[in-house]
Amino acid sequence: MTWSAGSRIEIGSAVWLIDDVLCGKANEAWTFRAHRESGETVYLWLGSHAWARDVQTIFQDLEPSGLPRILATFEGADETVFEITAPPAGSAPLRDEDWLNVARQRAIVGLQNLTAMMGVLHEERGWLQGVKRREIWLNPADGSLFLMSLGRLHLTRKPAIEAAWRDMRIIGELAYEVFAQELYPGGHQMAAILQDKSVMEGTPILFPGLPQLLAGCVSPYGDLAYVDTGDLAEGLEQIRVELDRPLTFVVGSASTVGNYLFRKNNQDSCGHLVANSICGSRKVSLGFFCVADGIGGIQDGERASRVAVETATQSFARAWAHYGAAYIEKWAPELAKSVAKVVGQRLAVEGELRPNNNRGGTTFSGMVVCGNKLGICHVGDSRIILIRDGVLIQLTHDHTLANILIELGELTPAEALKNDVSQRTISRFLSTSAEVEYDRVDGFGVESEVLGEALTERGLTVERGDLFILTSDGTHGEIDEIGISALVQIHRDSPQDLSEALVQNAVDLMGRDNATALVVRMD
Amino acid sequence: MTNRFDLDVLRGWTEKRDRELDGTHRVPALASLVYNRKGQPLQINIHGPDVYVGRFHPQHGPVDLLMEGLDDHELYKVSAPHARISLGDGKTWFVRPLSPSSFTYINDRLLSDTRERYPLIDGDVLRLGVVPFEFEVKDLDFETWRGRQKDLLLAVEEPSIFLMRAGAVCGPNYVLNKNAHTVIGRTFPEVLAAGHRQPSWDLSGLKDEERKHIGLRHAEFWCEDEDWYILPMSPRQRTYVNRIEVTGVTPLMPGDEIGLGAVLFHFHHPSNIRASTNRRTVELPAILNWREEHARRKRAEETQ
Repeated sequence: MTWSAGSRIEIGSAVWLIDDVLCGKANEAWTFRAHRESGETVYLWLGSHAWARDVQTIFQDLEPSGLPRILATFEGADETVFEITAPPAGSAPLRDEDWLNVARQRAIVGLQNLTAMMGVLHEERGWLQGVKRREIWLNPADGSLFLMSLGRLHLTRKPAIEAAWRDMRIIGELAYEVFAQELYPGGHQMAAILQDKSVMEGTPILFPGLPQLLAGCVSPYGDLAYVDTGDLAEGLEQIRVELDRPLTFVVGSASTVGNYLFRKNNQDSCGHLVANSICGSRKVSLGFFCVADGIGGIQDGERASRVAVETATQSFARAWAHYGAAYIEKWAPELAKSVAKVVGQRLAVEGELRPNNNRGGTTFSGMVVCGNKLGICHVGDSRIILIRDGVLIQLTHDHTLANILIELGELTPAEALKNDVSQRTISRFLSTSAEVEYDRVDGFGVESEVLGEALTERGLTVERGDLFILTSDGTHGEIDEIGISALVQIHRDSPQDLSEALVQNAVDLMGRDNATALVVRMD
Repeated sequence: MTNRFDLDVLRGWTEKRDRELDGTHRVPALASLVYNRKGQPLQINIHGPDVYVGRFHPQHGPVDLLMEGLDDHELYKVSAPHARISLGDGKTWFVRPLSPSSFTYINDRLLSDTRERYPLIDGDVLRLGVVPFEFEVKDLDFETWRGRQKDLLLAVEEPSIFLMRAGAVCGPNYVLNKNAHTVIGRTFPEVLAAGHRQPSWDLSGLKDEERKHIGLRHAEFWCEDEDWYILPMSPRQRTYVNRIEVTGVTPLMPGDEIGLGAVLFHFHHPSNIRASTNRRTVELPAILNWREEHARRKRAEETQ
């Protein structure tokens, strides 16, 4: 039976009027956009009872993403109708020009998800018998793909030898188009191209990993052919890591004792550790950056901040060696806090074992960056500032008496700025007399709406061009936000120049304290 | 503390964390303080009939109910100690404000006299500084509670040290060796302190806010002619006996309460069961700041 827009489907008391035939032909199941008599828009699958049985078996205990879900089932005399969920918002049937415009990284991720979904179906012995372009919906904004129709879905324990290939070949076609920026020339032509390297010379098809993928998809026969979706997923992952370019860190740092008569030594310390690796084409860069502002007797403050920076970089290196970059990327905020906890513990141990050389303690603000995730740890009144798109955002909340009094309503923020004593009294620091509690090491101290979706509990998503400035109070206590922004404008291209300019300006302004600035630009 | 990163790996040396020290209280709670904090209820259980509540300050000695999980500004208004909550005759609860500078309120009524005990009933809002706690009395008979505490203590027939939490012994204990010196403390890194003996009872496994004031080799215990002694060893962390700080060799009596940093321990000695099972009433040194007390009373009178 043939269906067209305007046709009426009736099963028992259920009635639908077809608005649009999305896919379907004789001997296949159909996909419609329709409306109920009440006017409500619904999406439908309609097919033979045999087909419907297979679909139901597949969907019985799994809900693969990238496919509609079944909302209701209606069995008629000859056919079964499923009401299904609507396609994702923003997506539309795949159009060639839309697909060619999807960025390569996103396109590959979209294809990976489609492949994973096919893998789930194949695992359940469900075979699509080929995927047609019009059955795929694309969200041009993010490159995500959605399979709207399962018109030829067939369940069998003994699939034909090419069954997997028939489903997977579309992936090769779509990958070719995104890289070559032209439509797939057809299987025979593709096979010919792949056999002659001179033809491919100078074309985007020679992207690392892509010829291998195309060869795997072009034919079900031969040594190169992909046997199952697992092979194809590996091929796609290889292309994805080849496309990946990790962030690199351009770092500058400066610290000075200043020229104030009563500051005889520099109790500030800062440090960073950057590690890069490429293993199996997977490029990873990760780094740890921190500032510490020592508190206490003349020598003891200097010692505390030095021990803090040394211990922190060492424990970060230990974490990298033991857990690896992939794990750290997942849990960057927790690693940052753990590092601060370990630093606090080390200072307390020093204080207990050598009490005469270890009075006081230190502030500590540090950040872990891995992949594109960033986590911070913060105790005290040093600061971590992010400059993104020209906007200055303070990521840390100062642990000062002034902030406590503001929270209690005993002081207004304006009064606090004038109230030097409460401003300079810190309410938390890493002490040499007792280790800090893990829960009292702060992470991000910024209102969530300031950074929007970029900030989740898995950390801040870092972008290229982000500039991070870590300062001790000797620097940010002298230069206000406007001053920092002005210096950023001038020295944007050189983090080292910027850090030196920040410190120099702080000293020039008043220089009541040691001044330190560590600047990291994400490139 | 749940953590996806093993701190032993990050430190480069291993702590012997006894899981039992972080465990649940083996004596049921008599009452609790509940604070609805940003939608997340924070519940602090009271496991003993007479507890000091507040922050820990080394000069003022340990408290039974350590305020934790509060924000900086909330803690700033909690004193060390802040108040004493006690069960009068096994039925009625009382609260006595102890701090002349940080206030205590019941249902927004200021408790102005630091020598007075004010009755506290189930459902009252007890405000410590700026933190309003709802006071909940548990459905538990005092005699039952006493029985549970007794069972826990009498299960050990040797002189021993019991960990206390929230006003009652909570389970973990260490049997003292009559013929050797026992050191209580925390694991320390061999690389930094080679040559020292690690403590016999390792308290690294305590909760973060408890262990932070435990020294690496905090205190030593030994027996001489059937009498027990304690000697504080930590250069930084303090030791208290019955809430008074001790700095030299101090004899111990059965039932004494030993404070190591912010944590209280019960000295259990089977020779005197009654002393062991009935908690000694320990008064804190009285408030000595007359001027502040006077100013506060005056302020309280003016506000009323």
